[in-house]
Amino acid sequence: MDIVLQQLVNGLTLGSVYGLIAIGYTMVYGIIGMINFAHGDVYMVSAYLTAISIALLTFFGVESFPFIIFGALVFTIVITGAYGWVIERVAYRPLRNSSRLSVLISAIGMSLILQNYVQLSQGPNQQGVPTLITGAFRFHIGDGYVQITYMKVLILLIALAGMGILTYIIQKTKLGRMCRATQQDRKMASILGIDTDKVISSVFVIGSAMAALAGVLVTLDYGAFDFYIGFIMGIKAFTAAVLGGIGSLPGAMLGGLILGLSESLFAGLVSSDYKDVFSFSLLVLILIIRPSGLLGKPAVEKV
Amino acid sequence: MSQENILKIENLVMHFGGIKALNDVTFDIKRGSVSALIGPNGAGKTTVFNCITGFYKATGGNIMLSANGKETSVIKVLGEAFRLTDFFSPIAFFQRLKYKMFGGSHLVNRAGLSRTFQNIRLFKEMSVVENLLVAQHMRVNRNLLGGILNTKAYKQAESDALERAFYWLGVVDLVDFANRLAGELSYGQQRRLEIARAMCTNPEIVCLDEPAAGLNPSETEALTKMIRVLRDEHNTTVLLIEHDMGMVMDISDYIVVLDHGEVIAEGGPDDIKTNPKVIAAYLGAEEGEEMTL
Repeated sequence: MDIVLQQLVNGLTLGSVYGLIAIGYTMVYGIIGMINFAHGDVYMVSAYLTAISIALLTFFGVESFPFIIFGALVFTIVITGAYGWVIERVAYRPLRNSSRLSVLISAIGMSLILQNYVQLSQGPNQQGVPTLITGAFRFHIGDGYVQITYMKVLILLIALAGMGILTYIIQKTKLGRMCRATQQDRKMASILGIDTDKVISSVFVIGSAMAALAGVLVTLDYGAFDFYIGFIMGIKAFTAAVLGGIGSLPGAMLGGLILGLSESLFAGLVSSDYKDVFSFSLLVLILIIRPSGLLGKPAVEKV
Repeated sequence: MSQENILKIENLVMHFGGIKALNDVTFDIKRGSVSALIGPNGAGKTTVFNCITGFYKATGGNIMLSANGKETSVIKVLGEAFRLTDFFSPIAFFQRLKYKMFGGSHLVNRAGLSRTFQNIRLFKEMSVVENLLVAQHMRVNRNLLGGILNTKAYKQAESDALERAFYWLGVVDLVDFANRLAGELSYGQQRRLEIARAMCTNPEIVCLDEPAAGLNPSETEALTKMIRVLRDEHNTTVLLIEHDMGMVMDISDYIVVLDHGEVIAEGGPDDIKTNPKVIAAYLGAEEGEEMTL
């Protein structure tokens, strides 16, 4: 009983992190129909930026955690967003009207560039940040207990807040309306006077900012990272996006939660060695039943 | 700089690979007129529209739009390739660089021109009123921070946009459907909504591509009335492509006839009806009514 609850909590936090990163995949796919393979590495860059910002803040004598965490969040989100903007400008926009395959290759190239650039500039070894928040809530259930660290609670709260703000932006604000219009018919949107290049850039910035949010939270929780973490995290988040229906925003969040929960429940109850096998089998199963993902719309040929 | 002509098209050429869709098309559109572009299928009417509205980048020629108090070269704002002379004139160089980097069809719309499509291109998964709001974003305070914090100026701008959207919904008789998804509307309603959306961008000239296609006679009549309203009450110049000759002859002040990518005749409805070249182009059709190909 206690182990199920414990893994549910772990899965929820893990899933919300997957969901945050999956948002970047799904938004970019929705708007320009490409898989941004460099997105996982944007997440990796944000982990390094977190460490740099914490180092900078402590160097300038900021001691209290709320300020450090807030400063790290702002710094990392802004710089990672700038990374997203530059990546789109440099690697994707010049290929806007070429075949999808060339953009895909460009994305893989961008991913390799980011990995190698970080490896060269920061060194190939694993790096770490000190644990800032310690302590946990403990709930005794029967003989055992469920432990929820304060950090996990913070991850869940900030991730949910991030998703909430994003949903509000997309559904209610003018930028969101422009994004949705561009997503449905880019050429038509530009004929109505919308600068679609600017909208696409802002989607990349938003996606990268969400990855940065995830990067800060995970780095503060786990503490250790290297230049290669973006790959596996990217694959997982991409899976989450596909699971929920790529192109759908709520789908990405739902897919992330399902993936995180199934992974941690399987790891806790059956075997942690086979958790990836289980979650990817789940993906295969869901795609057999619903080829366009849980909340995705079936692709209909335009006539 | 002619104030009389809102649109001047000179020697427009458009090639798709080896196919010459447009061969030297030249005509002017008078401000405040209703003009029609007609011709047999494949004559290049829609291609002319696509070039004017910046949907395609024309291969050659010149399109000058004189609206919103300034002259805009449609081909230039789409971003042209550099020419040798640009490297001697920094101003021309930077202008070309600017349009190459930030140009695009959105600038044509901002210059005061909007259009509808032959096959309806609404944002089908957005509500009817949202389709009209998204067309107005250029006029409205588009500060993201203002949107998140819900500032007073932002609210005011939003309510102005809503008011304008409902005004146009009233004109096209769709007020009752404001919160339905655009994709759920019937065909005729979608056509009307598309015109309302084009008008929400506040254009000085609106290009309608076959607005009466698929409409029944009473709907066509309502459309004719609406086009007159656009011209008379909103001072909008209307340029339309239409196959319904009855409607074209009824509504147009001026008609341009295209065939095989060339202008074969232009003039008032009466001139066109009796023009032998036009009749020949329509495969020997003799009367206006039978020219509906």
